Amino acid sequence: MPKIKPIWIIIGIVVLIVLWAWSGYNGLVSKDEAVVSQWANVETVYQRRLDLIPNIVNTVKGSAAQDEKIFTTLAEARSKYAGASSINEKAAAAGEVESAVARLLVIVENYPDLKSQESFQALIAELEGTENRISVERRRYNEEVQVYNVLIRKVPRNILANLFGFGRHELFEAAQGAEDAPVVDFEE
Amino acid sequence: MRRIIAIILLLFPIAVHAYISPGNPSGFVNDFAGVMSSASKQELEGLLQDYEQKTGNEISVAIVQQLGDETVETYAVQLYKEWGIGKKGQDNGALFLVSVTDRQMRIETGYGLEPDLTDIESKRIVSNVVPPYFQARDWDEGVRAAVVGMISAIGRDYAPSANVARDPAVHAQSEFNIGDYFWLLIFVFIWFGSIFARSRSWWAGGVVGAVAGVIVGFASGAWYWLPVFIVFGLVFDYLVSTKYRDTFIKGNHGNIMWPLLFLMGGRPGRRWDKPGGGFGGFGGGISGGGGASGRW
Repeated sequence: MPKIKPIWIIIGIVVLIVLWAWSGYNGLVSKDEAVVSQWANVETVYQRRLDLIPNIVNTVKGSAAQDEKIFTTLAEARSKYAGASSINEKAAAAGEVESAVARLLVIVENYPDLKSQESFQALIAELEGTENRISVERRRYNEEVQVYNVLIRKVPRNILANLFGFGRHELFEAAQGAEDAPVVDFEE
Repeated sequence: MRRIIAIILLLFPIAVHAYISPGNPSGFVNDFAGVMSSASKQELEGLLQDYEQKTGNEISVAIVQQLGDETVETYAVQLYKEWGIGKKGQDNGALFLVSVTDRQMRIETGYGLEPDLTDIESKRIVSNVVPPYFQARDWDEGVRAAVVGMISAIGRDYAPSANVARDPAVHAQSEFNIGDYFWLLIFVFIWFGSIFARSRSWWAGGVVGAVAGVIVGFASGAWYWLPVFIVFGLVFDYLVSTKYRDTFIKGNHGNIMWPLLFLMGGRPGRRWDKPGGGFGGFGGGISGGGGASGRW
């Protein structure tokens, strides 16, 4: 067996480390991007709900004009969401929108003539679908975050994560009272 | 002893995910609860097959006995993802899920069909059209009404021109199947085998294994393949180095050849790396919670 020069062994090890760091870094980047793009999906469905609210308000206002307070609450929550920039702020503002919508739906319970309107029922179907989309996309966001957070903490990739500054992503925790989509149930 | 077992069991968190898959789809219409008649199942199957060929849209029916701890919404989205209804990237699928004991149903719409099969149209189907049939326990007609309703709801504003994938081979090819490289692998195997066998060394296989492991690890990002490949190379080299002499020098051919013959004699026409059966599975689409739920 011919003798192998030590220099080649060192070069071999260096090449292995470089290859490992390269693919490890790329793996972190793609998981990080997966989290970011899933958050974009969450924001899309949040926006879908915000776009829906004016329609619902317009339909409800005619019948439930005396419950004016809820409409200002909704408007405030909407503008708060529009002004939010960070993920945490947006999540909190979306939680407020969510509870305002839930309260609106409770109020609507007092107006049977409104509930029987076909246009209102269509809006409610739309709202139900939107709330369900939100919970689906949010769950997927948390799944992506979990994959990523586990990845950056596992040996040996945590070395790379520290080296290149890959921090933890925050799991989405629903605001108080907003863990579940507001229950929209008119089939008593 | 029993206490130790109990402690060990406590250390393993019991799976809280209550979603239990009903199984693989056997076609477009899947009646796990066994409530439909086979005649109308076949008829619907033919209708949906034909519809898929003409438009590319995949509409599936799943009737389960119960949902377990899941809600109909969470069950539907997980089943949808598991089956992958609709073409990959187009997500042009829809699922009609019925749970018999829970008396609940849901239309779950793939991302791609959301503009065509709107929540409002779905809601109308699951809360107005189907419940009278299911209340009368007429499953055949209820499911049929739902499917027809979905198709006509999509059809109203659907233009079957751009996103039609008629040839199932088109989307099958996009995935990497190791079966496609099977003969190449066999060839490389035999080639290396003959080299290793002739060389006296026992370590060359380990070196080649290490190189292959680095390549695979680099390609897949899974570095645990590296030691696997090294050990495999060493064992392989050792085996052929000793067996080669037995086989080709001493003339004992049967010993090493029969596993290769066994590998080569695979039944033609059946992919060994893919599950068999007439139904090729759905296209890998995904949904995002669109649709509507109803009860009866």
